[in-house]
Amino acid sequence: MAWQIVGYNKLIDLLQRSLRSGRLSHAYLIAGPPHVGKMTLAVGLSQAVNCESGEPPCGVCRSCQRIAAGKHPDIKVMSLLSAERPKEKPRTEIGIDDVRDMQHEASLPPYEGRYKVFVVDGTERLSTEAANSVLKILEEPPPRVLILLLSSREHELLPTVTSRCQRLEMRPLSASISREVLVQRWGADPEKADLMARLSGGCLGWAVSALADAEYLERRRQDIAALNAVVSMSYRERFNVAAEWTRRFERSRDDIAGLLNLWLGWWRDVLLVRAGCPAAVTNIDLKSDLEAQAAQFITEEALSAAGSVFRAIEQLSVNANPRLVLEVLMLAIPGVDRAKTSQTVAGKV
Amino acid sequence: MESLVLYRKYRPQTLSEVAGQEHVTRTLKNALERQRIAHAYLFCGPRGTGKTSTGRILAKAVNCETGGHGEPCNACTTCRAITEGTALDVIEVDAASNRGIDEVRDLREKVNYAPNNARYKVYIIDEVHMLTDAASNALLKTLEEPPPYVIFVLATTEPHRLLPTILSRCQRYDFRRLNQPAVVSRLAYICQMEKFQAQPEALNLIASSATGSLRDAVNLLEQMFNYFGQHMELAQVQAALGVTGDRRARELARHLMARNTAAGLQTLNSVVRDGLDLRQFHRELTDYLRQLLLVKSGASSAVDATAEDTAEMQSVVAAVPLEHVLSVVKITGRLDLRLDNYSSLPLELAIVECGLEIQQKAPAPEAHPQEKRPEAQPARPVRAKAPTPPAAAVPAMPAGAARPVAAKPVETPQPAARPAPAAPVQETPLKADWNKVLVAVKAVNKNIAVRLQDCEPISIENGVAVLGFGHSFHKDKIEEPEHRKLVEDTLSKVMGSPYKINCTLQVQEKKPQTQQAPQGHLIKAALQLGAKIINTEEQRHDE
Repeated sequence: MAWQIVGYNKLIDLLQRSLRSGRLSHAYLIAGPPHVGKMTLAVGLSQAVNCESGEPPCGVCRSCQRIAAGKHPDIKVMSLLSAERPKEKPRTEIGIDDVRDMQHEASLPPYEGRYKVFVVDGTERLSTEAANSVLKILEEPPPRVLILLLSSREHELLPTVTSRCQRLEMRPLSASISREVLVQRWGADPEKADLMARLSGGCLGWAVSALADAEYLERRRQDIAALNAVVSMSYRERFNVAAEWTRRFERSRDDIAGLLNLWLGWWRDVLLVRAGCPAAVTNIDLKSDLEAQAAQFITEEALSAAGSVFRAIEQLSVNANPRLVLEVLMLAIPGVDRAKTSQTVAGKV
Repeated sequence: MESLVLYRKYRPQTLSEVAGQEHVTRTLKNALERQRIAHAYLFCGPRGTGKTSTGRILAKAVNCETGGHGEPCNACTTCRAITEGTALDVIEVDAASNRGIDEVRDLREKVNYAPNNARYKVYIIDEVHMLTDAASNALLKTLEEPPPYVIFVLATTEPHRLLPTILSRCQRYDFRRLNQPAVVSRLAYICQMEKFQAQPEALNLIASSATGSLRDAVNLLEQMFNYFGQHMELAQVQAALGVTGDRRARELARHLMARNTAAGLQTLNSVVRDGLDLRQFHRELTDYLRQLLLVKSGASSAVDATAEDTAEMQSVVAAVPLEHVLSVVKITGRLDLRLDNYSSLPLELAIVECGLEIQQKAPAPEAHPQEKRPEAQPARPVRAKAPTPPAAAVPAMPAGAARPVAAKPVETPQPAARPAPAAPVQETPLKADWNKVLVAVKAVNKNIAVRLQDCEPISIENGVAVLGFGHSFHKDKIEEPEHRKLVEDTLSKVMGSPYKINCTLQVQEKKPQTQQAPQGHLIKAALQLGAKIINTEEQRHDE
């Protein structure tokens, strides 16, 4: 057994049984949040159907190794990165030409493996034309073809596409399982593993890459400090911050999305501390800061702050004007010195 | 693939086998029996309802060598060839991949050749909504008057995207979503053929989660059997579909009703920890809350539940005011847990919000030990209204404060709403009675009553009521002795003790001025940044 994926025993079990009984479907939809391990599962499944040993996937036979290295001629990955021009900027959608190529290749028998496997990474990025033209082959592909559709935004897919696939859902792992895996498999020290497990929101891929990135925690600490500085800023300063974030957003969307998600997690934690449920917080290493901030705000303020950040993230993801969104967010975040003033006023009265 | 997936293996092969579409199959069967075959059919309907399958059956039926009564025999060479997809005269076109005008031109050319060995040449054009406009138009002439040996079958899930000229040239058959019994009986048939054993309830659950698409249902069935082997039970299917069972949903509902935010969050936390499907959990929660609402509003009979359940619900909501039940239902009901969102955050926010709702309505149960700033809340209303000098330094519109725009952003309406209940104690009786005074005055002199509406009772002390007027015009009128007497008498009568009135001009008169020409650079800066002037107070020591 050399499935590289951990924590999804049920799925593996299902696939193993299907393999053994020869009831493997010709098309699977692997759904789950980003970094949860969809591609890892797809690679494992490709190995399993093409493995040369008796215990697929063995992970050591020539075929398995070539698949793991991405060099197997019968495994095709379609993604936003164009296959012919890997150096170019990623496209915004996967076009109908890629699907036509796939249809043509599917009609040819496998070169050396048992199955031709087509992996579509980011199925929601298929253009409307491409998604529709995939329907026929998805329903009745030629023999010895396996189609794996990966998607983190399943609701954006055509219902006609999902209906033709068996659905493998990869839900985020619970924090305790992630922690265990991080400790046992990647040798992280338990405390750090606990933090990473919570920060990752159950997406192991993310946790592992963050573990490998030695500077990640330091960056995060700085980011949180910068975010928390905002609450004590005047509106004028906040607007400067919004302007700066807008510039960063134009350079890299993920940068700001990550920052806002961090902030959202922070406000969630503040809210949890205030509501008396501190066991569920994410940022356990900064607990004292959390408690300090929880003491500064009333629950309504924390709630509205979390709601505002949440809305901002949503709006940015649907292409709202970033500057407007960020400025509105800055207006909506409660200020800390006002809270303090009101406290002193209360004292005087 | 060694063995076909079940939805391909059990594709219907005769019209009577097509499940749940009797309105289509009977019509087609009758037409076939009477040899009244149209040259163009349009099959439309949602996914997994049998469009393509019916198209293939139709192709077999018209070409079947034994003829029969409208049904294909599935035994003759032609039928078998069509089933296997090797017949030369049944051409299945993927219109989504071959959507251009060139492909249609090619098709038009080939239409003119007579069939090889079958009676009819059948073109099944699938996903026809993806044809380009040019291609659709190029097809029109052929579609209207094809050679006598050609039949077109167009199939699509999105008929609204077709040209009306295409629609009008075809006989249209609308396939419906299958109802649950039809799906269940088909699933049961497949189980029987495959020697699977399944509880009827399990099949019911699969059918209901497939929302009327047979392919989805068969797919699920296959997945379940791959997973659980030859025996399938309801509990297994529930677990696999992420149906939680309603224990924790009820628990959370109880916590929401009992205003216990911390316990509610813990319940949710445990649900998340166990990896349950949050969407499903949310559905169950909303459903249970809805039942609670029905029970609370006295419509217990409308709830589909056992007597014990109803009694339990009654005990849950007995002590809770209807408004609270309603607001909890509203808050949780408007949550939209999108499919790709695995975060528990929306639910968490909703739980906290449900807890807050109560704190606003009844400030008394501020009993959380975690409330670390209990004095801050009563402090705010005082600061907003109290006329004492220290508070005046931090009014809602802090002209003198260090932060220019500390005025609450428009999004948070709480402070605006809060001052009213917590306003200075002495004012309350006067305000409450003021309306009575207005009514009484109106009975005597309508003119004065109208003028009085312009003023606001500010305070009432030592038998003197201070009235603040917005316009000096009205104030002067009221101050005329006879009118003054009328107001004072009425007021005394309503309050039950003698009162004098003292008319003053109120800040409101200044308000328009301030708005036209805001004073001070801080206010100007604030206005530029989007602040709104909500209230203005005189602050002589400031200016």
